[in-house]
Amino acid sequence: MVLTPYFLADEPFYAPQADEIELFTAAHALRQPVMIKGPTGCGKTRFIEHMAWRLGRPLVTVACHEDMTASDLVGRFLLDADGTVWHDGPLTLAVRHGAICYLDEIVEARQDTTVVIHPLTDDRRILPLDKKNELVRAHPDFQLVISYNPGYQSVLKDLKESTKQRFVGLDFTYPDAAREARIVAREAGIDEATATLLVKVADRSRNLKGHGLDEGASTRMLIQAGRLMARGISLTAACQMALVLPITDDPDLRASLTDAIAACQ
Amino acid sequence: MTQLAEADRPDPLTLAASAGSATDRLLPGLTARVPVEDRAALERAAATFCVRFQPASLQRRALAAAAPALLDRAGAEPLARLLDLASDLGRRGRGGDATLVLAAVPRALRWLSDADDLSAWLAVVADVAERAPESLAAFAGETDHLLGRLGARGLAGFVGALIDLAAGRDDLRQALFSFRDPRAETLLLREAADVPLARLEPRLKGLVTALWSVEPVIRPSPAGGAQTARRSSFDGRILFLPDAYRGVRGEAAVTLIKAAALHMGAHLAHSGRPRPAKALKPLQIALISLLEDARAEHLALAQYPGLNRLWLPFHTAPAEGGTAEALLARLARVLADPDHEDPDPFVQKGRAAFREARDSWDDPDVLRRIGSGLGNDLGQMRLQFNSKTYAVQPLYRDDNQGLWQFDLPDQEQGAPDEISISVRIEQRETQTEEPDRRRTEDGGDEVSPVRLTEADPEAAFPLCRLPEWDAVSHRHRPDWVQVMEHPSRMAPAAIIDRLLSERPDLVRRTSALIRQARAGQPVRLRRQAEGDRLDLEAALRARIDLAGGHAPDTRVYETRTLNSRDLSVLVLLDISESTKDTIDGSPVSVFSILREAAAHLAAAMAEAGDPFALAAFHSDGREDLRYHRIKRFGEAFDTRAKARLAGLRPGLSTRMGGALRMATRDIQPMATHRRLVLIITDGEPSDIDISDPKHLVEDARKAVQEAAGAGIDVFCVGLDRTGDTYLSRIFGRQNVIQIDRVTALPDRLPKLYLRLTR
Repeated sequence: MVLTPYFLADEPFYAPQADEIELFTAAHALRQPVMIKGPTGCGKTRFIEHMAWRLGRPLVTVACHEDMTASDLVGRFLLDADGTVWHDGPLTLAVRHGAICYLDEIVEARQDTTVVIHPLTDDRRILPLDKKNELVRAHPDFQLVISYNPGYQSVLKDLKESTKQRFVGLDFTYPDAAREARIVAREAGIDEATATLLVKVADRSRNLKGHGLDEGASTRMLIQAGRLMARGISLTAACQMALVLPITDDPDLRASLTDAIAACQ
Repeated sequence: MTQLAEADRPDPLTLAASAGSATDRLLPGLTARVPVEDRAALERAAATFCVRFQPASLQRRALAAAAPALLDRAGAEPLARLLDLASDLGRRGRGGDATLVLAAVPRALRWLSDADDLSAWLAVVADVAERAPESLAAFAGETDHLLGRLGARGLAGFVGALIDLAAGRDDLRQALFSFRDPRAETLLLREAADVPLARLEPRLKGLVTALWSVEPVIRPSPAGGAQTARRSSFDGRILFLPDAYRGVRGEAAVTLIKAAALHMGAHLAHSGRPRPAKALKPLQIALISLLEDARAEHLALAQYPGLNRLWLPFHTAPAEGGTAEALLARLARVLADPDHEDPDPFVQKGRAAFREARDSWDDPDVLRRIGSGLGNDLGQMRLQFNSKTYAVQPLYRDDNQGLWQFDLPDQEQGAPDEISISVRIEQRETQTEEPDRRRTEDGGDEVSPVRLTEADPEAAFPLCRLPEWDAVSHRHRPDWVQVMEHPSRMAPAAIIDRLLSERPDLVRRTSALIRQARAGQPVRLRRQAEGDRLDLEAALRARIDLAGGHAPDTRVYETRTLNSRDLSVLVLLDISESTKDTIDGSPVSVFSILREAAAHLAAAMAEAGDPFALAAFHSDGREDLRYHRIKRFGEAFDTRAKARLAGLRPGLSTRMGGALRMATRDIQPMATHRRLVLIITDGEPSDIDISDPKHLVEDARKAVQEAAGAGIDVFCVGLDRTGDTYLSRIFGRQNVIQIDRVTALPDRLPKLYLRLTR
């Protein structure tokens, strides 16, 4: 089967925050399109991977970006020795054969691109391929999931109201401090006391959201820092490398963050 | 010899040759210490000095006292310069000033480490002698005070700022140089700050926000007298920090300001609202505040142990000294440092009481009780406590005003005033549209007769204050320039409409140009490696290549993209006095051409649909930079805007840097891909209070760099054929275009605009 490579073999680690597993399972049973909101690196993608594994479905992931065209999603004609042949894009692949299609960071895509998902998200569940003059009816197992980062919301980057209203939503935030420390400790392979310190540092940076930072440090960043520490790097250096430098180019904010990290330990 | 008339005097060098070395006569025994290669220059300077001043004069005695140390420290070159300076003053009949300068040398040497420092100092002295001769005595008298705070390098900037501040008024210069005018001290504090608070402010704000999730407002402390010890202070979320702490410089100053801000941050997080002081005595207030300081820090440290590295080194009070102030500092130290031992019974008692109350720290009455008790103990010990001179120890802690509600009317805080003023300005700023509109409605109509509302100085109000760059000291003078909003004069918009209709050809050509460049048209890009559809032609060719056994060109797609002109433009007109000049004998003034060009350009921009604003500026000293917003972003280029453009009147000076900063502020919020400030000027920056034209050129250059830093392009159209050098210096060669014939401006400008905005 064409979707075989899209099945997840091993269980992706996921620590539930609340009842999101039950909620998603219910939405999946109804094949409702799901929108997952939350800041960068708080575990949205990991959650979807976990759910695909748990439900035993293949998962087709598309990382959206601003140059992405509708053809990149649905497919295009390519040249080969016999002439032009149609190649399904990732979305068409999932629609035809019944996978969970996960459009990551959908706001990054241009608005004219995102309208191709509209007929898939209502009762019709169809995908018209204009160029090929074909109407693909969605496989009964097909489900559309998008991730949506309200932190990036601006005039230029927001979903159309008509797109938003087609989805059911799940709201994600960073896990609470104790749970986040457990996640960091497990994923990075460090002790929980160190992980707790890292989470404390991250909380400081999250206080700066809207005060110079678009987003605070994510769980993903903490895991990166923790992995460096597991290799013997000091907290200060690991935070500098995995957290302060990637998160902002503003020298004043970097200095604030560096001072805040020093205060934490 | 000294009775000879000036003209009869023999040449000093001849004289020196006839009577042996002048240096030897002037400074016996020192010649040997001067390197051979420097001797000639020194000898010349010494000979002139000898001719100028008698052997027994005050000047010679002052020199004799200063020269050996000077020579040892800095060598012969500065000594020769000093002699030249003194001789020059003597020549101009200012022998007394020469004495003062010479007498100041030994004091200056205390602060100057090498020849470069000394040369820099001498240059400043010469500058004061030249530009502020009446203040030289006051300046020499403050030598220790100034050099101790600023060093030789900082001194130049400070002196320049004082002279500019006085704007040519001798009496004001004297008041400033002698520190009778308090603005001199304020300025000194700013210049003295190695690390100006303004530079640290964003960092401190971020730090306090990160740690306690409270975004503070940071303001410099109101200037106090020279005698008051400077402490930080807070009031709600406003943190007042000194620009500089006396005697603390460099990295130590950064640490101190950081410690102070974080101490107040701990108060914001843990101290709650101010409490009524009621009947407490000053000593009790000081003690309770001290306990509260310790409590807030303990709680902060529980969360952020790293803060101890910042605070603890400031606690240096030794376990000795029995005055009330000393005991308070000792108590503060033992509360902060559990490892510090202090045997004094009072200190021990305070520490024990504080520790025992640990579980009930949250109850404000507990600390109050402990503090009152300790106050009674000190009272029993008959110790004097002077609340007027008491300064909280250690240095980083605030003055405790933020913890208390005093019923007294005199809280000696200039601060709340300052805040209310800034609030008022903001309010006025948002209200400005309203009066403008009303005025237009009753006066700016096309049919109404010309009604010039004479700019009423009463009605002008300050819009904001802007910094100015001091190229000498390499730092900004904060809040230096005041931007004033003067009420717009209105003239019939018909004047502008007539200008436009008089040149229908130009309007037509411009429109055609603009149509070609209209924004937002979709463009088809063929033969692309990627795209949303096949480019049939390319696909066929590739297919044929394949069939013929050749490697096909795989760029077989086409794509559509929007040819978007995503930009906003602010056109800034220089309407200074020089634009009144007429052009080559004709009655037409530069200003009228400028206005016509602006009208055509505005019409073109309105047609193109690009967001644009139109502003004009001139200045009357640094307190009155007039910035006229003719058309704001978002407004239409309508009767009202045209009436404002028609009502402009040229005059006054060109403070370009401030105007550019103001324009930058106006265009900054525009959310377009490109932001362009297009300034049209006919002259070099100048203003009545500035003696050195280079200062304003450098300031404008800095303003352009600041704009570039904010992602804003600045482009200049120069109408002064001779202006090549300074305009290139300010804007960069490629960002200036010179227009030879001013009359060509209305023709050239729209084309130039289109070229810039493609």
